[in-house]
Amino acid sequence: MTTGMFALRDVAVRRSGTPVLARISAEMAGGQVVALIGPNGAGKSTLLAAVAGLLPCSGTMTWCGKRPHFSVLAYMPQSAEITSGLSVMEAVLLGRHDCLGWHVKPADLDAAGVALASLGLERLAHRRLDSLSGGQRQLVLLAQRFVRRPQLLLLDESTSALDLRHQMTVLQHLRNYVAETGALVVMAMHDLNLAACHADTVMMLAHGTLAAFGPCKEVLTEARLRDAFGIEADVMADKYGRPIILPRAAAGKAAVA
Amino acid sequence: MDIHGGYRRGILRKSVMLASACMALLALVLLDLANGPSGMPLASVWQAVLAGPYGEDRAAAAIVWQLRLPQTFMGVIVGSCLGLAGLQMQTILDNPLASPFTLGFSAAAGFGAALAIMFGQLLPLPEFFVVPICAFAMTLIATGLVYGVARLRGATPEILVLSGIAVLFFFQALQSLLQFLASPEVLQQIVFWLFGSLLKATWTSVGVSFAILLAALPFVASNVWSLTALRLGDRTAESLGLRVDALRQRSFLLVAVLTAAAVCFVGTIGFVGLIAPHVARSFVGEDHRFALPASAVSGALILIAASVFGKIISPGAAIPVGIITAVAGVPMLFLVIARRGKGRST
Repeated sequence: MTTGMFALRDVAVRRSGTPVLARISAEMAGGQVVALIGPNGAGKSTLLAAVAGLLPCSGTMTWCGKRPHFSVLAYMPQSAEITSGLSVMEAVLLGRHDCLGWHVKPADLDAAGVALASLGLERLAHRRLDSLSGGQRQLVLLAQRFVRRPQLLLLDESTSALDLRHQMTVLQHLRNYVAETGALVVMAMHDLNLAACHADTVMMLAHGTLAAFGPCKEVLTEARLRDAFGIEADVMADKYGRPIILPRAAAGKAAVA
Repeated sequence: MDIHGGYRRGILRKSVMLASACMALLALVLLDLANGPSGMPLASVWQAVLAGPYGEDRAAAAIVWQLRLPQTFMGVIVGSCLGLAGLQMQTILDNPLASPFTLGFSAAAGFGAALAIMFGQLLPLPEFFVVPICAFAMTLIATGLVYGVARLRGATPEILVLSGIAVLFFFQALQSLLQFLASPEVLQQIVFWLFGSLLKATWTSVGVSFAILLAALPFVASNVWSLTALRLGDRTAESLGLRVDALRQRSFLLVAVLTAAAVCFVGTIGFVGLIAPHVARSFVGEDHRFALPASAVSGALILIAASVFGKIISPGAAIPVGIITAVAGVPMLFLVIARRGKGRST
C-alpha cells in the first residue's frame, strides 16, 4: 500500500471581496484521519469546499503532486437536505454516477452493498430516502462517499446528526478505512473529545487562519482552546494518554459551578 | 439481507410496469384508430392499413392513411415529447409544478404561430411550414430569454421558475395583442391553432416531429444518471462531482427542442408535460433510466386517451385534445397536490 501526500500552499479564499481564508499551508500524509476544528465561522467548511473545487481559491493544493479531482476525492457537505423518493440502494449507487452504465454491473452492486454493510445500513437498502430519519440519511450520504473508494475523503460535520453509537461506528470505520487503503480523511468536527479520540492530527482554524497543526496532544491545549474558541477548559489525559477536554466557561466570564 | 436480489427485483418490477404501460398505449392507439367521425370500425381500418395508401377502396385509404394514422402517430409523438420535456424540467428545477406549459414555452409557441398566421405571407417560405417554423423559433427564443435572464442571478431553480413565469406572461400578453389586432378570419385561425388539435397532423409533420424526437433521445439518455443524481439536490449532486449548471443548461435546451417539436405542428397542449412525470414517478420511482421512458409513455397515453375521449363524446366532430387535456388536467393536478399534502414525494 502506498500512501499519498496532501499539500496546501498559501490557500486563500475570498467571498464577495472579503477574505474568509488566508494563506493556509500544511502537509498531510495519507493513511490518517485529520480533524479540522475551529469555532463557527473559522473557515472549516470553506476550506473543504475549496479543496473539493467547489469554491474558487488562490494558492495551490495537491494530492500526490496533482490538483485533487473527483476521480480521487469524495466530499460530503454540511447538512445537505434530501427529499428524494429514491431508494437507499439507488442513492448509494449514485456515488458512482460517473461510471455507471445503463445496466448496473455486479461490481457496482457489490461496492454499494459493502458500503451499506460497513455502516450497518443493509436493512434499509430498499427503503425510500424520504422515509428515513435525519441521522439515517446522513449515514446513507456517508455510504455514498465510501462507494467511490476515495483516496482523499473530505467530511464536513458528517456525524452531526448521529447518536453516540453511530458516531463511534462511523469514526471507527474511518480509522479502518485509512489503515486499509492509505487514504487521507479530513473531517471538520465540533466535538473536540471525539477529535482527540479518533484523529491522528488536528488542524485548528481561527478567524480564517491556521492557528495550529499537529498531533492532538500538541494542538488541544488549554492556551490554544482559550485563544481559538474563547473558552476556559481543563485538558487532561485519558488512560491511553489522549487529551480529554472539560470546558468550564466562556473565557472572561464567571466559571460554571 | 439479499441486497442484490432486492435491487434486481426492483428493476424487474419497474420493467414490468414500463412494459404494461407500453401495452396499454398500444391498446389505446388501436382504440383511437378505430374511432373517428366516419365511423369506420377497427377491422376496416386494419384492412385499409394492409391495403396501403393506394388501396382499391380510395375512401378508406384516404381516411386511414391521410387522417387517422398520422393523427394517432402524432398524438404518440407529441405526448412522448411533452412527457420527456416535463420530467426533465421538473428534475432540473426541482419543482413538481414545472412544465413547458407553465414556464411559458407553449405561450411563446402560440405567439410565434399567431405572428405567422398574421404576417406569414411576407416570409419567403412554403405556407405549410411558416406557422411551425415560427412557433419552433419562438419557443427557442423564449428558452434563451428565460435562461439568459436567470443567468444574471446565477440560474438557480427558483430564479429560472420566476424568469419562466415572467416570460409566460410576456408572451401571453403579446398573443393577446395580436388577437386584438387580428381580423375576425385571422383571429379564428389563431384561436383554432391555440386549441391544440391532432387534426392538423400530416405525414410531413409526423416525420419532422419524430425526427426531432429521435435526434434528442441519445442526448436525453446520456443524462439519465446525472438527472437521477440531481434528485438528491444541488448541493449533494455537486459534492458528487456533477457539474450541475452545465447539466441544467443542456437539459433546458433539450426541453425547448422537445417542446417545440411537440407544439409547433399541433398547437398548445397543456398539462401533459405537467402530469405525465407524476404518473411515471408514481409507478417506477425516480431512477431516470425508467422514469424518462415511463414519462414519455405516460404522456403518449394521456394524449391518446384524450383523443379517444374527444372522439367518443363528440363523434361527429372530434373535440381538440388541447381542450380535453386542459379540462382533465385540473382534477389530476388536484390529485398530485393531495398526494404531496400527505407527505409523499412525487
